[in-house]
Amino acid sequence: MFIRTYIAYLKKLIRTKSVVFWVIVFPFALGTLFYLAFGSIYSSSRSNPIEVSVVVSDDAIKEYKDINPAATDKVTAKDLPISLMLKELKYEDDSPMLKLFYEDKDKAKKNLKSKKVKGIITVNGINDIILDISENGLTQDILANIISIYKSNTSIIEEKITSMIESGNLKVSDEKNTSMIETGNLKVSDEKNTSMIESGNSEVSEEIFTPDTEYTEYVTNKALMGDNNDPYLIYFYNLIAMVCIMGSLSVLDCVCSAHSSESYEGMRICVSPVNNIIMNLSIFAACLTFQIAVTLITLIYLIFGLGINFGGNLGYIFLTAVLGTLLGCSLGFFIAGIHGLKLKTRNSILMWIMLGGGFLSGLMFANMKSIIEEKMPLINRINPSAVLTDAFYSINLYGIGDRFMRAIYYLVILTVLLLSASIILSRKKEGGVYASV
Amino acid sequence: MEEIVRVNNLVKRYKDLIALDNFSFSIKKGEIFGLLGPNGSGKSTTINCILSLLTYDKGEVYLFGEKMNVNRNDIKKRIGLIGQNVAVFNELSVYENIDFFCGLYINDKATRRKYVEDALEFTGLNDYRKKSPKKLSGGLIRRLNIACGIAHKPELIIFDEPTVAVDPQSRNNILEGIKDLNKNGATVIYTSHYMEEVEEICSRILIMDKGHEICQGTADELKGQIKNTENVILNVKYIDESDLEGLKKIHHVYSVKYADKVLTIRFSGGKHNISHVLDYISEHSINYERIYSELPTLNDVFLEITGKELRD
Repeated sequence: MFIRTYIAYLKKLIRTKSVVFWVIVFPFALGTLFYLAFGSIYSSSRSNPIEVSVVVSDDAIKEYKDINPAATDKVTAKDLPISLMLKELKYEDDSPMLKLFYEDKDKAKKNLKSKKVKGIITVNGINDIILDISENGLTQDILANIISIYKSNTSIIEEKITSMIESGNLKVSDEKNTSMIETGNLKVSDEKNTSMIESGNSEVSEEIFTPDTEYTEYVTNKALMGDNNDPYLIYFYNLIAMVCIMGSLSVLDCVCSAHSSESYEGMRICVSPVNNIIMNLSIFAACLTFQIAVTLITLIYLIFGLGINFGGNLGYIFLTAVLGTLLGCSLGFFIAGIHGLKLKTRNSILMWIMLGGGFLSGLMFANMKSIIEEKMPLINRINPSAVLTDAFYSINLYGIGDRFMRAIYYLVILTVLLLSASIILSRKKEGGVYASV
Repeated sequence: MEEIVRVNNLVKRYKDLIALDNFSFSIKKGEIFGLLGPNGSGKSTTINCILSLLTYDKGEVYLFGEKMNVNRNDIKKRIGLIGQNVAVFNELSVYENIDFFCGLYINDKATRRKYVEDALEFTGLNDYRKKSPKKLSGGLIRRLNIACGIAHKPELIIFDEPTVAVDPQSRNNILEGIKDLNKNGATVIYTSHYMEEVEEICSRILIMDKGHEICQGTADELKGQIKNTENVILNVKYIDESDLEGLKKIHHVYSVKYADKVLTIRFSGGKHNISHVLDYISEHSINYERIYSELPTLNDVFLEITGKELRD
């Protein structure tokens, strides 16, 4: 029965023109639009630096002097770690990514208003950094990502060093140095350590910090983009993530069509001696197969049709896309399994999860994910869109490493939880739901 | 004879509305049992309760001598359902639809293939096996609906208003098909608000209203329970009140009703009363277009017991 139902529903999906349009034609059209829209940006702005105002408060310079024994009175705003990092950011062709204007707050605001700069980076302290933008856009998203990653990296290094100090693996010579290390403001004593920080993305290897290390310098985060330093790719990753999550719609529709309360075919299925779990699982499997095919076709179109360069991580991108589709379908399966709801209500819930989750995960506003991570990290762990985009962001920003594996781990955990809950809900037969006088 | 269905004191409430009020009946093997009642009388609710598609507040349902509940797959295997709405997948062909729904009951591939062929043959859909339901006419799609419900050769077949919005020719085909299924051994429950159909095919009829049983028996038994023996009907453009009173005085007349230019005279004794009416209208020079006589119908039974028409 499983295979027969699987084949029947697969045929049903393939032959439904509206489904085929929404899940295949729509992503294709959107991908093409992205390509056409960003194509010109690629050629015009990729090697052009983004103009940014940097406003450094006196307190930030004072704080830096206080914690850095090597700092002299001549230290200026340009010597702060954030300034060094911003200066070092480069495109693939080694041209600088940012054009920095160090100026006071009023002038910076004036420049932002007149659109001479894309954003203002205000440094109030070593870790107190704020980005102001006047409008949303790709360059603003890039700036938001840079600041977000800088903050994230600094706090990771800070945590690592603090833990090493606590475990006795890192010696510090005096109180001042300890305080400096705790704030994440470190000096690297030799080239080897610097390069290891650079290549390690946000993951700092313990090897960097030998017991003899006294000072470490955090100079730059050159490896910002992981294996692939194309910031525009995030938009295509978002598109793939959307396709994956859209799988939930077809699962919801198909599983609900087997409910007696939702369709006459469902009524006929419910009076037959079928095992509810097997029936629902076979429908789920058919939808999953269909959606995986759609996701892969979309990816193939982006890669070979439009020539989008996803870098050297294609295998991992395909893997993430397949797992993401499984997550999307599981979400639809779970919503379909909740008892006593009408299809309209289920669709509304799903749309809220998809759109709201998408918003919270930064599909519409790149900085949102970082804000949620800071204020309510649990939401990023249970929001399917956030879990999925995090996996894609990890590939794009950090390459394949622990961060990516952690994202995949969350993705799998959430999928297993949703699937298990769906199967448990499927165990209950549907008597009592159908209502008609 | 073996009892196939027994419903004991079924009570179903929808908030303040009592859809079924201590409703009971039983059906014996080989019967075509008609459940007749106006819209909203509780026919579909009864069917849904029997099939465990709907929970009920009180009462018991026994099918094939066993208590029915939502998990009784062994009982469900022996039942077929043909509802008033077409329940097929538009994306699958005629053959694929029958095969899919038959496959919910029959696992063995060879048996299933034979059953699907039998269903195609029975419903006359052989020539349309590869067609999409979307390309079938209204009558053919109804036949497909029936084929999907009977392909697994159920012992109890439930037809829930299968002729709603069906043209007369297709309706006759469906009724003939039901008779054939019954001849082949199936017990049938047939719900409808069309009294003529029920009267034509059902061996026993239960008339219900507002979740209650009004009466039950064969069509003749039901008609025998009322005083109406004959109706004389005239198409009259105009008639005086005095003539209406005069008609009431004819021997055996117990009701005269004039509405929408139709004069209905009901008699409570004997037959062939039309001659008395003809005598009266010629004496009083009443102009009429048509006059005819008919025996009482189930509608008259319903009317006499409830005071309202089945079609209301």
